Amino acid sequence: MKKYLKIYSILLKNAFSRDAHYRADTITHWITHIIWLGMLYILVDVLFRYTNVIAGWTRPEVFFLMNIFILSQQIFLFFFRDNIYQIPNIITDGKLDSYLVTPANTIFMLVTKQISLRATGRIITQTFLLGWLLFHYNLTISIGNGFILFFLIILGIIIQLAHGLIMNTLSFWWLRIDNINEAWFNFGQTAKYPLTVLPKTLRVLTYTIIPIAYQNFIPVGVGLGKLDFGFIGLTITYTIFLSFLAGQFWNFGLRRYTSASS
Amino acid sequence: MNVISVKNLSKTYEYYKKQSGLWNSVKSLFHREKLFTEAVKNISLEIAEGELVGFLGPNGAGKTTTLKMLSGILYPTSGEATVLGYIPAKRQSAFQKQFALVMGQKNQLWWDLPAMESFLLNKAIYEIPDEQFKNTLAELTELLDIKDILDIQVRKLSLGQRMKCELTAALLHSPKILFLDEPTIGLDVVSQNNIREFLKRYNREKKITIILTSHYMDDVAALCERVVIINFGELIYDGGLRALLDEHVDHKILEVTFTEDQDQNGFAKYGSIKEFTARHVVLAVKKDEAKKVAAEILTTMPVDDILINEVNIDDVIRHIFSAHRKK
Repeated sequence: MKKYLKIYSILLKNAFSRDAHYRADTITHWITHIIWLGMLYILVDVLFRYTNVIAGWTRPEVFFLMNIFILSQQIFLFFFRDNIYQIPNIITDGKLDSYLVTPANTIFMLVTKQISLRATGRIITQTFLLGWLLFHYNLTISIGNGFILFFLIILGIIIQLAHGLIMNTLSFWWLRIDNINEAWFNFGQTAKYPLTVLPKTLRVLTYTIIPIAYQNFIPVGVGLGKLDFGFIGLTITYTIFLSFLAGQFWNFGLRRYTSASS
Repeated sequence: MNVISVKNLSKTYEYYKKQSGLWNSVKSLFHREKLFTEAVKNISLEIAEGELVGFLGPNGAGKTTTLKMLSGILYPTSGEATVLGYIPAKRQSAFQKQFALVMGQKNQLWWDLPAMESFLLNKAIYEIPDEQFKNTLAELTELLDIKDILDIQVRKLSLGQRMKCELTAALLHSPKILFLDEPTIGLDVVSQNNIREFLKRYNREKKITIILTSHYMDDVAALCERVVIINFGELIYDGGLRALLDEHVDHKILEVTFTEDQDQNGFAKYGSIKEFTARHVVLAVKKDEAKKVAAEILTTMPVDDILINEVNIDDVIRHIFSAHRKK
């Protein structure tokens, strides 16, 4: 554990050194996010001009849900997303070789190598927005529920990571899986809104094969008291199951690794 | 003591037939023909501690695949390999801490950061104690003369400097075995020579076992007493480089320059004529007759200069590959 903390601290330091060279990119990234966020809020606000409730969720609740979704996405981007999307290239170009010969867990090294500091501005923005939403709409969450919300968001990120790893492990067979990543990303955007709007069969998928419900719907639902505590057990169980599955699937896929000729 | 032991090691790759053209691409969406290629076929060998062994072979011969199986990157299809008593494919940390792999065509250092940052990361990954790290780094940077470039971004370094930094990163944890895949590829003559000199010295002083693949015969001739020749995945020779030359070369090259014009017909009796101009001839003469022929030419002809050369090793290896292909 101490070894991996040490490695991670070096990776974090390296990310700072590297991103210091790309300040303009970091600032542009933050500005585009603000613009996108503004447009999204206008869209949802327009919807609520015609109704007070969407699938059992009020305007402040939907805004809160949306914000938690974006925050969860940005935390995922900060720690893991670039690394996960790089896996197919690492496999097809044979760069995986250098990961396989080092005495450190290959999955750990793969999913932590790059830390996207450019997401920092977005995370700070989202955190401020969350505070403003709670204050502006008088949304009350008890301290206990606040902890549960935070805990479930972390589990949701681990589920995203495990799911992303499973999908990108497919590149041991299919080599290029950009389309799957893109489809997953687009479908994942559905989680911005209450999943209760989806038909029941499709909703089941969001708890299982395409587990986007864990990103924000369950954490916010439990946090706001709209879903019962049984969902905490479900999330813990699913996190353990999917993480185990991702590790096993990766090891299985690794047997097919052919590297690349030099 | 043997540190590497390989018995009937084989690797078969499977791939799909890819035909050209749009129609064939559409057809391949529905049906693809699976094909197999045997990259390594039943290779067996033993390598002792401290040996410096050169793996030779043309492109696609199976050298790198063998190296990758020995370092645990690839699973063998069949056969056994043990390295330092470990089965490489199990990728145990205790094993990985005892070897290093350097690939000339793949950059393992962080591209956007100074090499020193990669060294520090390796220190954490290999759990190198502070004192050992400090001493080893000082020794390697001195030997490779890279003290002044440690704080320069890797992408701004020359290829030769990068390779020196790659070697430093690989040797920081003092491995017992070093796998080198084309370490001098793309380097200029001076850099190639520096790397060779370093490897020779490091092998001699540290008794590290080095397995080297290279297309450059100069690398192998300068470094390796033992060569393993692989062609079409098969091991076709395993032994000393000198013995290989003795076995496959029965002649020497005699190169003579004259002060006056000569007739080509006068040289046929000495051996086969490789090159001829009126004042210059290159002859392939039987090894045991080379001195006698040289003496005769010197005494009977107006010689300006005469050289007795060994046959070019590249030519010998090429001849061996081509003979094996015909089989």
